[in-house]
Amino acid sequence: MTDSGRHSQRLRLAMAATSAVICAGAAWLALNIDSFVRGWAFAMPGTTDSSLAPATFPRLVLCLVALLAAANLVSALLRAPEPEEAAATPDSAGQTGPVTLPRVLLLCAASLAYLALLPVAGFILTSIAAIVLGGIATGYRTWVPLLCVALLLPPATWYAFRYGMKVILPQSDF
Amino acid sequence: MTDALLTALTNVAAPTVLLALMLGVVVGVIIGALPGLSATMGMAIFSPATFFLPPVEGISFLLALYKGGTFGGSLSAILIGTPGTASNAATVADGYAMTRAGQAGRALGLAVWGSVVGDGIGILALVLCAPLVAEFALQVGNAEKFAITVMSLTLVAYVSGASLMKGLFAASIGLALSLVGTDPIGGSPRLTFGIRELSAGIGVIPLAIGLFGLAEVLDQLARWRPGRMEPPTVEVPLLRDILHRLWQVKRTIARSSLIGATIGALPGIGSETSNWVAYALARRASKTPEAFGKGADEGVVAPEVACNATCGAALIPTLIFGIPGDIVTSILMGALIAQGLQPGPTLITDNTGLFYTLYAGLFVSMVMLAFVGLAAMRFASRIILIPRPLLFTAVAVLCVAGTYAINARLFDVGVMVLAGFAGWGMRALRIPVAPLVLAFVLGGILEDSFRRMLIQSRGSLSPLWDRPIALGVCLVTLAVIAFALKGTLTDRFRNRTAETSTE
Repeated sequence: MTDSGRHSQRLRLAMAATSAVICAGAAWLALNIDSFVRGWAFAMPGTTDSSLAPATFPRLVLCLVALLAAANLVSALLRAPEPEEAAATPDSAGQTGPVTLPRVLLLCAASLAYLALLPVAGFILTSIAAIVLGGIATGYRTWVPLLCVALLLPPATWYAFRYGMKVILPQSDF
Repeated sequence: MTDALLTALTNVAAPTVLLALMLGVVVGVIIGALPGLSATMGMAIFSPATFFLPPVEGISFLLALYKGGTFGGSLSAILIGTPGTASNAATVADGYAMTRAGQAGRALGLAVWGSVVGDGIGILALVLCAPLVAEFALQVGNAEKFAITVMSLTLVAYVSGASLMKGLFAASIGLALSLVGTDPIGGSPRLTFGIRELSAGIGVIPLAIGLFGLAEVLDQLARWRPGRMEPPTVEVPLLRDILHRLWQVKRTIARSSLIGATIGALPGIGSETSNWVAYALARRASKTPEAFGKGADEGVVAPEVACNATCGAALIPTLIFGIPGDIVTSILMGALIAQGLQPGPTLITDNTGLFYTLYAGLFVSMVMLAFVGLAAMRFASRIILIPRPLLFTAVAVLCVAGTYAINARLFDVGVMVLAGFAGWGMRALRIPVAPLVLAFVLGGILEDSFRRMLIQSRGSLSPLWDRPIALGVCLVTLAVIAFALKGTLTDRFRNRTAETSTE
């Protein structure tokens, strides 16, 4: 099997797994919706119609999600792989490459670290670190513009929000 | 009416409004020109900033950004063969062919003036049709509103991806997310899972910033590799030459404007569709279809006129029905609501002065677009070469700041980051994001109209076939589904036949 074929196969499996999880989650929620929706049924005078209960619409939507997720699951398992998209156009080809697992993990870790540090180190310090490390991690090595953007943009944004919009972005504890 | 017009002209001549319009056009053109950044992303990132401005300045800025962003995408489409936005994808074939032939200036000139003409026609469509549609909209009841919302969701699911099922799947997830928060009729909390911050629901702006902004940042940073890009040379052509060329394709301009304005006025679909439809019809109607793809003037003019004509017309369903004309206007709708302006049939009649000012602002920004577009021709080749790691880490920082500014809550930043990763995953799995956001925005309208219809009809769905407009809209929806299914079955049959003959 070629690299492209393996990639398509992995995508189909990922699609099937995602659809299965969403289908199961939506079906479980639809069955237990009464536990998550508070309120009273608006039964019309002289009827016991439950179509007007507050849980009815959410249940309908969740059933629709489960149904479509199941259909996607079946489609992902049965359908032939979709043709690969062109990776890049001629002039941008020199600056793009395939998405690799280490980069995905790096971006996930960086985002989690950013979220964790934001309330503690504040917007300016966290953003400076994110820009410098983001640049280095992607292989960008032109230091002057990288440091200029890292050192100027976060403080400029902080002050623009502070004095322009009267919003104080997260501040450092230090 | 004369008084309102005079007031509008006075308002739009205010330095702050002119500044907002100019800034909007410039920021929009830059954002649109940068591959990966789009008008949608720009609107999502900058709309929280407009909450702190007066309505006229804030909405004018966003409208100008929308127009600038729609045009800006053509710059990178023509110069490096990568459309800045999906609205300019059809421009690549002939625009980039002209650049390779050393005629980038001619292509850019046609794109600038084609965009200005298309923009003007879209605004005219809005100004002329909005009052008429508003009168019609007053007759629209809950059954019609429900049917139109379902139709727009089906349309967007159909046109935004290769598979209707994936589009509908994304739309259903958007609807499910819109359930989180408070019951719109009973007012009781639901699906909050004990998280206090969810009692007001998930914000549309954090969701849109994540799905469009951060997802693009993650994708670009994951794909970027060090390498060289050479800037193309642009020789600015004579205005007389461009106008002469535009005059020669006047029929294409008229046809594409009509296509753009009509598609824009349909709820749910926008310039991502109109540019391709206009391109295909221009090719079919051309006396020299073989020139398409090799640098035909019509191949640049048709998609540019159409996608810009869509901008103005897309505001008709957004403002009057409260049903977004496309994904960008769904974010604009969020900004209008944040400014205390609830879209609906009475929005324009209740705020005549404000809307005349916005109309005047749209015309002024059209003139500004011409000047900024001409200036951008000289600088575009530099703008598009800004190193991606610098650009996208900077965008990520703006995403965080913009999201936090909405409610000064870190919870929203968390939602945005989560939405960013979800959007990135959806992109990898080729699930379209646009139906999800549109369904999320329309979820409230859909539920409200559905439940009110049931209350009025004592639990019966009969208004959907008893009322002629609702029935007509339902039939259109069914026709779209049937058309999509027919296309899928035909493709499968063709594939199977091809496989059999190969064996």
